[in-house]
Amino acid sequence: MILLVLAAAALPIGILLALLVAPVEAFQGEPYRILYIHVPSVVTAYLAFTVTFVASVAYLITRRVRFDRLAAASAEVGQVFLTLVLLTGPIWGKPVWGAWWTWDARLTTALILWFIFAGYLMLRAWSGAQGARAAAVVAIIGFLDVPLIHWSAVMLRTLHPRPTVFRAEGPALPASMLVILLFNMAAFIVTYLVFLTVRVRQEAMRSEMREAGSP
Amino acid sequence: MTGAAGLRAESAPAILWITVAVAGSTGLVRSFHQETDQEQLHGLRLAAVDPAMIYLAKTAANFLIVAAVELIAWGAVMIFFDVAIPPRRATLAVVLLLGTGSLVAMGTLLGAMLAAARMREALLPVLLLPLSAPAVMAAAGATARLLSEAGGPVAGELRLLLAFTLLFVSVALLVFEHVIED
Repeated sequence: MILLVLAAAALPIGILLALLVAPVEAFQGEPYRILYIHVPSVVTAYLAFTVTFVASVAYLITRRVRFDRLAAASAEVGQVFLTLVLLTGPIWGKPVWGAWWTWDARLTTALILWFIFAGYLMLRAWSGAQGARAAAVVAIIGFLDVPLIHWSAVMLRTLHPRPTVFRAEGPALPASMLVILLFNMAAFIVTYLVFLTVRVRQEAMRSEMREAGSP
Repeated sequence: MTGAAGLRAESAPAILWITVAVAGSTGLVRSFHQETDQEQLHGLRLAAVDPAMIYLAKTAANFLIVAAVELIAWGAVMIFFDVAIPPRRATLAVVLLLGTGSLVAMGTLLGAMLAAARMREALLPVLLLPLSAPAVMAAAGATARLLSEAGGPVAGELRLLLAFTLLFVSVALLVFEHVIED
């Protein structure tokens, strides 16, 4: 409940900050503002898939259903954020790069990851409770595949902006932009936690109802 | 090479690897069919065989089948795309070997996992193609470089294929017992 209030307050504030308060970028102009949605989404999506990976390993080892529910819920929410990444990226790319899409390493990795987790969610939807173990294995393989996908795509070419926040030398963004970006990241992560809690609770209730005998 | 001939030589490796990936994914679905239909997997597990050995044996058998498909596809590509066997034959053989190995190692694990699932014919390609994308991309890239006149090193691609195969064979050996128990 606290999380829900936090998310509901922080998301619109973050968007307003990004649109009204953050300074204009010198080279890209106004389109750069989509960064405040794009980067928090990608951070949240990768966080969500990491949770799915850890929960899947825990499920295979312990066989506790709650880990399976956590893995499934986190993958669903992560896929929503990754979809947001794949939608906002081209909207920015068209005015700045002059193209909706390029086969850059980061873009290729995100797209293939999207297909992997689309397959994961299809497997879950079609195979029900029996598919839990298979789904856990797919989540583990899919997560471990990410560095290899990135590696193979780097061998092709790279055009995406370098990381500006998480890098060894410290953030390269000016403070006025960085604070707003970090605020939005926090807001997105809280939103993820809200969705995650709701989905896990729903699944727990559904299996309770099933055990109680109602459809 | 210019014009149509250049285009043909460039698309030949892509056609070859798409054929192998698609043929592999349709063929591998059936590889555990017999076991589930006649409950032989049950028998295999009763026979005190290490699940890891079942995986390795299945992978070896599937490798032979996919390699046979690949040889036929290679012949067809040579004829229809007018491609000659390149001078670096040994390297090409290693690329084909590792590329096929990566695809089969992943596909056999998924095939076993989906053996009991509904809609497995649809699910296997949906999962196998993106999961094996790095291996297929590296194999196709290396094949293209070996076939082109300009040439160039393929060590990076070979390292990736080797890493992919080793990683996913290890993962498969670790999780295979979870996959085939019911």
